[in-house]
Amino acid sequence: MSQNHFTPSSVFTITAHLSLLILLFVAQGCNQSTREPLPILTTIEVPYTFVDQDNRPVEQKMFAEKIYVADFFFTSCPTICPIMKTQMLRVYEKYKDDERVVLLSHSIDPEHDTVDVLHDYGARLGIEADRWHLVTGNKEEIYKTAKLYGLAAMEDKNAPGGFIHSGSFTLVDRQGRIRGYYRGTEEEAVDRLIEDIARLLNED
Amino acid sequence: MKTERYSSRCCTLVLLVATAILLSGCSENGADAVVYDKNCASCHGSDGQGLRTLYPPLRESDYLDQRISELPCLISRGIRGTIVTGNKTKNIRMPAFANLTLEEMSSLINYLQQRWGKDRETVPEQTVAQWLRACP
Repeated sequence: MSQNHFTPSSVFTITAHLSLLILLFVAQGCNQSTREPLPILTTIEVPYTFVDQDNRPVEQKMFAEKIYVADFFFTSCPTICPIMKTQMLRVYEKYKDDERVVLLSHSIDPEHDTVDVLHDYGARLGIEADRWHLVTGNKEEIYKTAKLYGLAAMEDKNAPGGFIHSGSFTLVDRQGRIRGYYRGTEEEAVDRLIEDIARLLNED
Repeated sequence: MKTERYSSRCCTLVLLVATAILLSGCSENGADAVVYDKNCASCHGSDGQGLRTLYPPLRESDYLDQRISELPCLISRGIRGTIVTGNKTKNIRMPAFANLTLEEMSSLINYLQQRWGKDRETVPEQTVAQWLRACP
Protein backbone atom coordinates (compact mmCIF):
# COMPACT_ATOMS: atom_id res chain seq x y z
CA MET A 1 0.00 0.00 0.00
CA SER A 2 2.80 2.36 0.90
CA GLN A 3 4.23 1.97 -2.68
CA ASN A 4 1.02 3.26 -4.31
CA HIS A 5 1.76 6.95 -4.95
CA PHE A 6 -1.38 7.58 -7.04
CA THR A 7 -4.16 8.10 -4.54
CA PRO A 8 -7.62 9.05 -5.92
CA SER A 9 -7.05 12.65 -4.87
CA SER A 10 -3.72 12.90 -6.67
CA VAL A 11 -5.24 11.40 -9.85
CA PHE A 12 -8.02 13.98 -9.62
CA THR A 13 -5.51 16.81 -9.17
CA ILE A 14 -3.43 15.68 -12.15
CA THR A 15 -6.55 15.31 -14.35
CA ALA A 16 -7.79 18.76 -13.33
CA HIS A 17 -4.45 20.36 -14.16
CA LEU A 18 -4.29 18.60 -17.54
CA SER A 19 -7.85 19.70 -18.38
CA LEU A 20 -6.97 23.27 -17.47
CA LEU A 21 -3.92 23.17 -19.72
CA ILE A 22 -5.97 21.81 -22.65
CA LEU A 23 -8.60 24.52 -22.11
CA LEU A 24 -5.91 27.20 -22.11
CA PHE A 25 -4.50 25.90 -25.41
CA VAL A 26 -7.98 25.80 -26.99
CA ALA A 27 -8.81 29.33 -25.75
CA GLN A 28 -5.54 30.63 -27.15
CA GLY A 29 -6.34 29.01 -30.50
CA CYS A 30 -9.76 30.70 -30.52
CA ASN A 31 -8.22 34.10 -29.83
CA GLN A 32 -5.82 33.68 -32.69
CA SER A 33 -8.58 32.68 -35.10
CA THR A 34 -10.64 35.82 -34.27
CA ARG A 35 -7.73 37.94 -35.48
CA GLU A 36 -8.06 36.41 -38.95
CA PRO A 37 -10.08 38.50 -41.45
CA LEU A 38 -13.66 37.34 -41.93
CA PRO A 39 -13.98 34.94 -44.89
CA ILE A 40 -15.22 36.30 -48.20
CA LEU A 41 -18.01 33.90 -49.13
CA THR A 42 -19.58 35.26 -52.31
CA THR A 43 -20.45 38.55 -54.02
CA ILE A 44 -24.14 39.11 -54.48
CA GLU A 45 -26.11 41.32 -56.84
CA VAL A 46 -29.81 41.79 -56.16
CA PRO A 47 -31.50 43.05 -59.33
CA TYR A 48 -34.85 43.87 -57.70
CA THR A 49 -36.32 47.02 -56.17
CA PHE A 50 -38.49 46.77 -53.07
CA VAL A 51 -40.40 49.34 -51.01
CA ASP A 52 -39.76 50.12 -47.34
CA GLN A 53 -42.05 51.07 -44.44
CA ASP A 54 -41.86 54.73 -45.46
CA ASN A 55 -42.95 53.84 -49.01
CA ARG A 56 -39.51 54.60 -50.42
CA PRO A 57 -37.82 52.39 -53.04
CA VAL A 58 -34.97 50.26 -51.74
CA GLU A 59 -32.36 48.65 -53.98
CA GLN A 60 -28.99 47.13 -53.31
CA LYS A 61 -27.01 49.93 -54.97
CA MET A 62 -28.16 52.20 -52.12
CA PHE A 63 -25.95 50.08 -49.86
CA ALA A 64 -22.76 50.55 -51.86
CA GLU A 65 -19.98 51.42 -49.41
CA LYS A 66 -22.20 50.33 -46.52
CA ILE A 67 -22.09 47.28 -44.31
CA TYR A 68 -25.51 45.72 -44.02
CA VAL A 69 -27.33 42.84 -42.39
CA ALA A 70 -30.16 41.12 -44.29
CA ASP A 71 -32.87 38.79 -43.04
CA PHE A 72 -36.34 37.45 -43.94
CA PHE A 73 -39.44 37.50 -41.73
CA PHE A 74 -43.17 38.25 -41.73
CA THR A 75 -45.08 40.41 -39.29
CA SER A 76 -47.68 37.81 -38.32
CA CYS A 77 -45.04 35.11 -37.72
CA PRO A 78 -45.90 33.42 -34.44
CA THR A 79 -42.64 31.53 -33.95
CA ILE A 80 -39.05 32.71 -34.46
CA CYS A 81 -39.54 36.20 -35.94
CA PRO A 82 -40.19 38.00 -32.62
CA ILE A 83 -36.97 36.46 -31.28
CA MET A 84 -35.10 37.46 -34.45
CA LYS A 85 -36.42 41.00 -34.15
CA THR A 86 -35.44 41.15 -30.47
CA GLN A 87 -31.90 40.22 -31.49
CA MET A 88 -31.84 42.50 -34.56
CA LEU A 89 -32.90 45.36 -32.26
CA ARG A 90 -29.65 44.81 -30.36
CA VAL A 91 -27.70 45.31 -33.60
CA TYR A 92 -29.86 48.36 -34.37
CA GLU A 93 -29.25 49.93 -30.96
CA LYS A 94 -25.52 49.34 -31.29
CA TYR A 95 -25.14 50.89 -34.75
CA LYS A 96 -28.14 53.22 -35.23
CA ASP A 97 -25.91 56.30 -35.04
CA ASP A 98 -23.39 54.93 -37.55
CA GLU A 99 -24.45 55.71 -41.12
CA ARG A 100 -22.05 53.10 -42.47
CA VAL A 101 -24.27 50.30 -41.13
CA VAL A 102 -27.79 49.46 -42.36
CA LEU A 103 -30.27 46.70 -41.54
CA LEU A 104 -32.57 45.21 -44.19
CA SER A 105 -35.51 42.93 -43.32
CA HIS A 106 -37.58 41.47 -46.18
CA SER A 107 -41.16 40.36 -45.62
CA ILE A 108 -41.88 36.96 -47.16
CA ASP A 109 -45.62 37.61 -46.82
CA PRO A 110 -45.91 40.75 -48.97
CA GLU A 111 -49.64 40.26 -49.59
CA HIS A 112 -50.33 40.85 -45.89
CA ASP A 113 -47.29 42.96 -45.12
CA THR A 114 -48.15 46.09 -47.04
CA VAL A 115 -46.31 49.36 -46.57
CA ASP A 116 -48.91 50.41 -43.96
CA VAL A 117 -48.49 47.18 -42.00
CA LEU A 118 -44.70 47.49 -42.10
CA HIS A 119 -44.92 51.15 -41.10
CA ASP A 120 -47.00 50.24 -38.05
CA TYR A 121 -44.63 47.36 -37.21
CA GLY A 122 -41.58 49.62 -37.48
CA ALA A 123 -43.22 52.31 -35.35
CA ARG A 124 -44.00 49.76 -32.63
CA LEU A 125 -40.40 48.59 -32.71
CA GLY A 126 -39.33 52.21 -32.43
CA ILE A 127 -36.99 52.11 -35.42
CA GLU A 128 -35.99 54.64 -38.09
CA ALA A 129 -36.45 53.46 -41.70
CA ASP A 130 -33.13 55.04 -42.74
CA ARG A 131 -31.23 52.72 -40.45
CA TRP A 132 -33.49 49.64 -40.63
CA HIS A 133 -35.50 49.11 -43.80
CA LEU A 134 -38.50 46.74 -43.57
CA VAL A 135 -39.26 45.96 -47.19
CA THR A 136 -42.10 44.44 -49.18
CA GLY A 137 -42.55 43.81 -52.91
CA ASN A 138 -43.08 41.11 -55.49
CA LYS A 139 -43.27 37.76 -53.68
CA GLU A 140 -41.28 35.76 -56.24
CA GLU A 141 -38.57 38.41 -56.34
CA ILE A 142 -38.32 38.36 -52.54
CA TYR A 143 -37.98 34.55 -52.54
CA LYS A 144 -35.28 34.74 -55.24
CA THR A 145 -33.52 37.40 -53.17
CA ALA A 146 -33.53 35.08 -50.15
CA LYS A 147 -31.70 32.49 -52.25
CA LEU A 148 -29.13 35.10 -53.32
CA TYR A 149 -28.45 35.81 -49.64
CA GLY A 150 -28.12 32.06 -49.02
CA LEU A 151 -31.27 31.93 -46.91
CA ALA A 152 -34.43 29.83 -47.23
CA ALA A 153 -37.93 31.29 -47.64
CA MET A 154 -41.05 29.58 -48.89
CA GLU A 155 -44.79 29.24 -48.40
CA ASP A 156 -46.00 26.19 -46.50
CA LYS A 157 -49.62 25.96 -45.49
CA ASN A 158 -48.78 23.44 -42.79
CA ALA A 159 -46.21 25.68 -41.10
CA PRO A 160 -47.23 27.99 -38.23
CA GLY A 161 -48.26 31.25 -39.88
CA GLY A 162 -48.15 29.66 -43.37
CA PHE A 163 -44.47 30.24 -44.18
CA ILE A 164 -41.09 28.67 -43.58
CA HIS A 165 -37.94 30.78 -43.49
CA SER A 166 -34.41 30.79 -42.22
CA GLY A 167 -33.77 32.39 -38.86
CA SER A 168 -30.31 33.53 -39.89
CA PHE A 169 -28.86 36.97 -40.54
CA THR A 170 -26.51 37.54 -43.49
CA LEU A 171 -23.66 40.04 -43.09
CA VAL A 172 -22.65 41.87 -46.28
CA ASP A 173 -19.59 44.11 -46.59
CA ARG A 174 -19.03 47.40 -48.42
CA GLN A 175 -18.21 45.57 -51.66
CA GLY A 176 -21.45 43.55 -51.62
CA ARG A 177 -19.70 40.40 -50.45
CA ILE A 178 -21.25 38.00 -47.94
CA ARG A 179 -18.92 37.76 -44.93
CA GLY A 180 -20.90 35.67 -42.47
CA TYR A 181 -24.11 33.98 -41.34
CA TYR A 182 -25.46 34.25 -37.79
CA ARG A 183 -28.37 32.53 -36.10
CA GLY A 184 -30.79 35.35 -35.42
CA THR A 185 -32.42 33.48 -32.56
CA GLU A 186 -29.23 33.06 -30.53
CA GLU A 187 -27.87 35.85 -28.38
CA GLU A 188 -24.28 34.56 -28.55
CA ALA A 189 -24.39 34.41 -32.37
CA VAL A 190 -25.67 37.99 -32.50
CA ASP A 191 -22.93 39.06 -30.07
CA ARG A 192 -20.52 37.68 -32.68
CA LEU A 193 -22.36 39.55 -35.46
CA ILE A 194 -22.02 42.82 -33.54
CA GLU A 195 -18.28 42.18 -33.13
CA ASP A 196 -17.88 41.19 -36.79
CA ILE A 197 -19.57 44.41 -37.98
CA ALA A 198 -16.96 46.31 -35.95
CA ARG A 199 -14.22 44.25 -37.63
CA LEU A 200 -15.61 45.08 -41.09
CA LEU A 201 -15.74 48.76 -40.14
CA ASN A 202 -12.02 48.56 -39.42
CA GLU A 203 -11.22 46.94 -42.76
CA ASP A 204 -9.62 49.20 -45.39
CA MET B 1 -9.41 2.97 3.04
CA LYS B 2 -12.67 1.95 4.72
CA THR B 3 -13.27 5.53 5.79
CA GLU B 4 -12.55 6.72 2.24
CA ARG B 5 -14.99 4.20 0.72
CA TYR B 6 -17.64 5.09 3.28
CA SER B 7 -17.33 8.82 2.61
CA SER B 8 -17.40 8.21 -1.16
CA ARG B 9 -20.67 6.21 -0.84
CA CYS B 10 -22.13 8.93 1.37
CA CYS B 11 -21.27 11.56 -1.25
CA THR B 12 -22.89 9.50 -4.03
CA LEU B 13 -26.04 9.05 -1.93
CA VAL B 14 -26.26 12.75 -1.15
CA LEU B 15 -25.83 13.58 -4.86
CA LEU B 16 -28.55 11.09 -5.85
CA VAL B 17 -31.01 12.48 -3.28
CA ALA B 18 -30.23 16.07 -4.33
CA THR B 19 -30.77 15.20 -8.02
CA ALA B 20 -34.07 13.48 -7.21
CA ILE B 21 -35.28 16.50 -5.22
CA LEU B 22 -34.28 18.88 -8.02
CA LEU B 23 -35.96 16.77 -10.70
CA SER B 24 -39.19 16.40 -8.73
CA GLY B 25 -39.30 20.18 -8.25
CA CYS B 26 -38.71 20.79 -11.96
CA SER B 27 -41.37 18.44 -13.23
CA GLU B 28 -44.22 20.19 -11.42
CA ASN B 29 -43.47 23.68 -12.73
CA GLY B 30 -41.81 22.44 -15.92
CA ALA B 31 -45.12 21.30 -17.38
CA ASP B 32 -46.56 24.80 -17.00
CA ALA B 33 -43.47 26.46 -18.43
CA VAL B 34 -43.60 24.17 -21.47
CA VAL B 35 -46.97 25.58 -22.60
CA TYR B 36 -45.74 29.16 -22.08
CA ASP B 37 -42.38 28.56 -23.75
CA LYS B 38 -43.99 26.85 -26.75
CA ASN B 39 -46.81 29.32 -27.37
CA CYS B 40 -46.09 32.66 -25.73
CA ALA B 41 -42.40 33.22 -25.02
CA SER B 42 -41.33 34.06 -28.58
CA CYS B 43 -43.44 37.25 -28.50
CA HIS B 44 -43.87 38.09 -24.80
CA GLY B 45 -40.34 37.01 -23.90
CA SER B 46 -39.03 34.30 -21.63
CA ASP B 47 -39.28 36.75 -18.72
CA GLY B 48 -42.61 38.27 -19.79
CA GLN B 49 -40.84 41.47 -20.76
CA GLY B 50 -42.57 41.88 -24.17
CA LEU B 51 -40.94 43.75 -27.04
CA ARG B 52 -41.35 47.53 -27.00
CA THR B 53 -44.93 48.34 -28.02
CA LEU B 54 -45.02 45.49 -30.56
CA TYR B 55 -45.70 42.77 -27.99
CA PRO B 56 -47.01 43.91 -24.59
CA PRO B 57 -45.24 42.84 -21.40
CA LEU B 58 -47.01 40.38 -19.13
CA ARG B 59 -45.32 41.59 -15.97
CA GLU B 60 -47.60 43.92 -14.04
CA SER B 61 -50.42 43.34 -16.53
CA ASP B 62 -53.80 43.97 -14.93
CA TYR B 63 -55.01 40.86 -16.78
CA LEU B 64 -53.06 38.90 -14.17
CA ASP B 65 -54.62 40.84 -11.33
CA GLN B 66 -58.28 41.87 -11.51
CA ARG B 67 -58.99 40.45 -14.98
CA ILE B 68 -57.61 36.92 -14.77
CA SER B 69 -61.04 35.46 -15.65
CA GLU B 70 -60.85 37.19 -19.09
CA LEU B 71 -57.52 35.61 -19.98
CA PRO B 72 -58.64 32.17 -21.23
CA CYS B 73 -61.02 33.79 -23.75
CA LEU B 74 -58.38 36.27 -24.83
CA ILE B 75 -55.82 33.52 -25.35
CA SER B 76 -58.12 31.07 -27.12
CA ARG B 77 -59.70 33.63 -29.45
CA GLY B 78 -56.83 36.04 -29.98
CA ILE B 79 -57.21 39.80 -30.40
CA ARG B 80 -57.30 42.09 -33.38
CA GLY B 81 -58.13 45.60 -32.25
CA THR B 82 -57.90 47.78 -29.19
CA ILE B 83 -57.81 46.73 -25.56
CA VAL B 84 -57.63 48.85 -22.44
CA THR B 85 -55.11 47.90 -19.78
CA GLY B 86 -54.44 50.12 -16.82
CA ASN B 87 -55.15 53.60 -18.15
CA LYS B 88 -53.76 52.88 -21.63
CA THR B 89 -55.54 51.89 -24.84
CA LYS B 90 -53.46 49.56 -26.97
CA ASN B 91 -53.92 48.35 -30.51
CA ILE B 92 -53.10 44.66 -30.38
CA ARG B 93 -52.85 41.83 -32.88
CA MET B 94 -52.48 38.47 -31.21
CA PRO B 95 -53.19 35.12 -32.89
CA ALA B 96 -55.82 32.76 -31.45
CA PHE B 97 -54.57 29.73 -29.53
CA ALA B 98 -57.76 27.73 -29.99
CA ASN B 99 -55.83 24.47 -30.17
CA LEU B 100 -54.86 24.53 -26.48
CA THR B 101 -56.56 21.81 -24.45
CA LEU B 102 -58.33 22.69 -21.20
CA GLU B 103 -55.44 21.11 -19.33
CA GLU B 104 -52.88 23.20 -21.23
CA MET B 105 -54.92 26.38 -20.78
CA SER B 106 -55.29 25.75 -17.07
CA SER B 107 -51.60 25.01 -16.78
CA LEU B 108 -50.77 28.24 -18.65
CA ILE B 109 -53.11 30.43 -16.58
CA ASN B 110 -51.57 29.10 -13.39
CA TYR B 111 -48.06 29.60 -14.73
CA LEU B 112 -48.80 33.24 -15.65
CA GLN B 113 -50.53 33.83 -12.32
CA GLN B 114 -47.75 32.30 -10.27
CA ARG B 115 -44.95 33.95 -12.19
CA TRP B 116 -46.25 37.48 -12.59
CA GLY B 117 -49.62 37.76 -10.82
CA LYS B 118 -50.29 39.22 -7.38
CA ASP B 119 -52.78 36.57 -6.30
CA ARG B 120 -50.78 33.36 -6.52
CA GLU B 121 -53.52 30.93 -5.52
CA THR B 122 -53.97 28.00 -7.86
CA VAL B 123 -56.88 28.33 -10.27
CA PRO B 124 -58.70 24.97 -10.55
CA GLU B 125 -59.24 23.51 -14.02
CA GLN B 126 -63.04 23.65 -13.50
CA THR B 127 -62.84 27.40 -12.95
CA VAL B 128 -60.87 27.86 -16.16
CA ALA B 129 -63.52 25.74 -17.96
CA GLN B 130 -66.26 28.03 -16.56
CA TRP B 131 -64.40 31.13 -17.73
CA LEU B 132 -64.08 29.63 -21.20
CA ARG B 133 -67.79 28.78 -21.33
CA ALA B 134 -68.61 32.35 -20.37
CA CYS B 135 -66.64 33.86 -23.29
CA PRO B 136 -68.68 36.75 -24.76
